[in-house]
Amino acid sequence: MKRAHCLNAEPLRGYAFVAFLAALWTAVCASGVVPEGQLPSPYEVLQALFAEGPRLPAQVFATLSRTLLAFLLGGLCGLGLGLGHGVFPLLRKTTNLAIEGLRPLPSVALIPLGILLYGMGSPLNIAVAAFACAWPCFISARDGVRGVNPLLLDTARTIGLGRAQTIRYVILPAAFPAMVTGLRIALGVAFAVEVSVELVIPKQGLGALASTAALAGESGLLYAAILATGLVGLLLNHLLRWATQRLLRRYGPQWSGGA
Amino acid sequence: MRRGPDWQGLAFCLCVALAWEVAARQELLPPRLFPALTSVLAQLAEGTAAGTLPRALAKTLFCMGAGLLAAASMLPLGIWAGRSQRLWSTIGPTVEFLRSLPPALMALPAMLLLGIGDAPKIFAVFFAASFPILLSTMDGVRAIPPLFLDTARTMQVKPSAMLFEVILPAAAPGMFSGLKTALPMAFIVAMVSEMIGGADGIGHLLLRSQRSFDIPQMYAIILVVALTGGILAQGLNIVESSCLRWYSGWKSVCGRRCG
Repeated sequence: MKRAHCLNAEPLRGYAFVAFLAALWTAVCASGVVPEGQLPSPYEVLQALFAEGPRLPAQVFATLSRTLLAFLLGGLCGLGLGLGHGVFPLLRKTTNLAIEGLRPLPSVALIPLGILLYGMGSPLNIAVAAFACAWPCFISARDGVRGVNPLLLDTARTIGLGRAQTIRYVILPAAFPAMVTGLRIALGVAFAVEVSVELVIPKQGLGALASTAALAGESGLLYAAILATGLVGLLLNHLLRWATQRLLRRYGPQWSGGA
Repeated sequence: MRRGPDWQGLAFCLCVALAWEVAARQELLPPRLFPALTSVLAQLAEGTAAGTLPRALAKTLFCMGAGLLAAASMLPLGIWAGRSQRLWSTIGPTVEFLRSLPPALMALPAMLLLGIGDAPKIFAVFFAASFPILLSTMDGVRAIPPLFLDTARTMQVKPSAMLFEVILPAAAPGMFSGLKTALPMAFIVAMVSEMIGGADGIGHLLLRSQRSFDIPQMYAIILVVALTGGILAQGLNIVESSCLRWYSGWKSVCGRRCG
């Protein structure tokens, strides 16, 4: 998806809008339209956030470390399978139907199976999130290899490169931008699915914090957890955008400029 | 695109199914975790005949449909944001923050505010589907070739005709790509919210069958869910290709760059 980012165009207006929303929220709480305890005011949310402060880094670390492990595992499997499908027609022809059947399976449907196999610990979260984030990597690697300019392949054949050399020096570099874009999507998916698994099985992490707060009826803490999760997600997003732009700078604005 | 059945792929699927059946019958895998495929299929037939599976699935699809319908309200906002740089610079930061939240998380505050039932599920689906639809519609509007708008302006078409006969059809490819992202997300989020606090729906049934160690039923539901996801995605593809017949022809004439 290519999108011109206009965040820097007039940032003040955007932040003024955020402030306006916060003011509106405070006004709604103060007016008493919403029954007591169901919607905390922004002040109560910040209070809860600071009260939770000392324990927050551990939760963020739990979520982020599992997200990254899932991303590494799922990314490697997805890219490997995608490259295999792009390079070896026999593999593609044989397993394509099975993979296309597995792909629409919503990752969270694997949570119960994961509980049976791994119990309720971290391996479960990592396995489910890795399954989810393997697909964008698979698609981008497969299509990246398919989209390699035939001229490059013909040239490689003409100058007598072997199969391994063609893959190493022609196909991999040409498919690189697509693969990086796929990896970027995958990290977002891994984060969202990781938090979702924590919501279903509230053991540790940001999702578990939100889930237990909701069960206990502590609305301030719930919104604080949501705020923290959103900020972590936003940070992850910006970090990734920056990293992909650096990695893909030499491929031109078509790859590095897009969203 | 290849026509006709994919024999090689079917043979591979059959081999996998056969291997599963034999491994389960010979008890090569722990029989409690891996029931034979035939017993899973028997459970599937039984659940379908008894009506439990179709009822739960219908419930989930209803919540998904309601949430997606509500998210369609983002179409006008997306068109407006695509036309007006000023609107996007106002709401941009807010949207960037909200969309980096894992959408399943929003089921929790919705439960506090709206109580347990369908409403929080529908809200979570709405939240999940809104941002892909909003952003892709905006991209679609921005990607309209200026030639279209200039031609319409030269011909002095009325503003309403400009919207319905120029902008909407020209932005339709973008809208469909948003819907393609939103549909699987909506399915996942509906299932997660059923797993967190639902009393019905396919996600709830899935988690319950694992908790009561009804393992064949668990596998049967995973099969149903994968199949449903595949049918939904394929159905959307068919609708898209019938709505956008003009687009594929136009793209092949103009090349990819101007689309």
